[in-house]
Amino acid sequence: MIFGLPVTGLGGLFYLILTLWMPVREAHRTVRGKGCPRRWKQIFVSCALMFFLFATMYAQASLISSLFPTVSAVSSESLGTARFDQIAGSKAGGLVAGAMFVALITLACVALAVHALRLTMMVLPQRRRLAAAPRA
Amino acid sequence: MSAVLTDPVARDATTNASSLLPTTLQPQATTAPGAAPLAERPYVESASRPAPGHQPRKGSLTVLIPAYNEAENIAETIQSLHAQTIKPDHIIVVDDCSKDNTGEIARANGATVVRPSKNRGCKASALNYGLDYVPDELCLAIDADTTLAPDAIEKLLPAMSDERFGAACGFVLPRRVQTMWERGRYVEYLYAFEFYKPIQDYYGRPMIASGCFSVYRTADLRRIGGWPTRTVGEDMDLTWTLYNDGYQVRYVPEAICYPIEPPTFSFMQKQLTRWSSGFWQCVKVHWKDLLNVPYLRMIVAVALWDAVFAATIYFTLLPLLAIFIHPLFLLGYLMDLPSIAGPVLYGAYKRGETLKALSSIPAFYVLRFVNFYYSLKTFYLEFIARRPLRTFEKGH
Repeated sequence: MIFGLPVTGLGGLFYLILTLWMPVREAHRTVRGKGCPRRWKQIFVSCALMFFLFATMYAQASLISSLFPTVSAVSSESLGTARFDQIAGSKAGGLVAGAMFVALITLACVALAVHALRLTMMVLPQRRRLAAAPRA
Repeated sequence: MSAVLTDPVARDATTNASSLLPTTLQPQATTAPGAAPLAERPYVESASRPAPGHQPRKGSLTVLIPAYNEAENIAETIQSLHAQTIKPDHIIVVDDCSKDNTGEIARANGATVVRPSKNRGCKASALNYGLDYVPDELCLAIDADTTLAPDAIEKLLPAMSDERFGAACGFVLPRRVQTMWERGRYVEYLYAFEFYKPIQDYYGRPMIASGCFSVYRTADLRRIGGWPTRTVGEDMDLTWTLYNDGYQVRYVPEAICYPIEPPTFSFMQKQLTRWSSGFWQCVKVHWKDLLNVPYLRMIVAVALWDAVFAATIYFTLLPLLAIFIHPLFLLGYLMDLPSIAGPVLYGAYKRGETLKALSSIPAFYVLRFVNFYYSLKTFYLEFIARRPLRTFEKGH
């Protein structure tokens, strides 16, 4: 059994962030004497795939911008990616950066919601226990 | 030849690791000439349970295969086990009251066959029936329509030498890649097992030890009550139960198995319904415990978000943008093509299957569209209509 919609939505971004974090985590492990060549190989492959994804996403956005200038124009006006065009230096970059920005904000909200729920579930039972405890 | 498992304790004393197949078991004719076919018998049990206090040999392995009407596939599955570079000590087929001659074929191919008195109703329950008969330290569960690469067990088992790991699973690739649905699944698996799963494994949290090919410690399985029957996603449920118990799960990409994937839409929609419902049911059962499992809680939260919101956007936002702003927004459906192609072609290239993967990518988009639909539909049925899936037809 597998579940999920590979490549779709937040999943893609989430795994890209996990991939970026892998070398940092492994470097820390290596410094502590717990490094492992097998894991470094795995990190190398994952990072290579990730950079390939970024490069091809950018290339694709460039292609669409040049083939269908209407899309860039419409997205700049309707979806408000114009500010990202300036930041990224091109309309293609603006499309990618705009999409990434929205996805990052959404991912941050999901992460916050998960941790808020976790904290709530930690605090609630304690409060219930305190409320149920007999008063002296 | 038929083989019957007698007393595993006595057998352990006389069997060494180099002669591990059922051919070493005591041969015994269980199908007398003129006897009723296995399928017609009310109750047949050809193996004995391990004696109380039985201590399995370290590293010994039983392969457990639940089967219902698998006469077409079971022989190939068992033969792939016989062809392993490291052979299992026992092969037990749970013939879940098949209406065909699954049991006889399994027995003829050298497996031990156990058969409950009536159909157990689900795969998990059939596995639990077979678990009672497992005499070995490790228990490898595979589907009856799944064959293994010759070195699959050899590659998978070392992961279980570390006591921290409660389960280990391998790489899954469809055996047949012909129809559109099989092609879509082929791309989906290549992507998931080449890109997502290694990352999950690095953080020690593969989301699922796939039910079609995973190994566990028999004692752990018995302690937690075997495969959970409370959900229709027994493999995910078991994996998350192991995490809650403090275990980790390993993904071993070198250990490859080849299940048969649904070749038609009819089979595919049954499988997608079961898998999606299984996920939602597992979330309902485990959500509180999952909050305390680092990384997995985010992996599940993101999967959940995408299954609901990404699917909704896919079905509503893009068409709306196309209708009200510009038709070219329909290109959004193809925007992730490079993201898919990278890992898929990398995985396919390693296997010399680049062309097959390239030609299969369009089918992935069709499958994903259907997948979205069933994600949303099962979410509605499980959480809003409160009509959880309880019985299901096997979708292969």
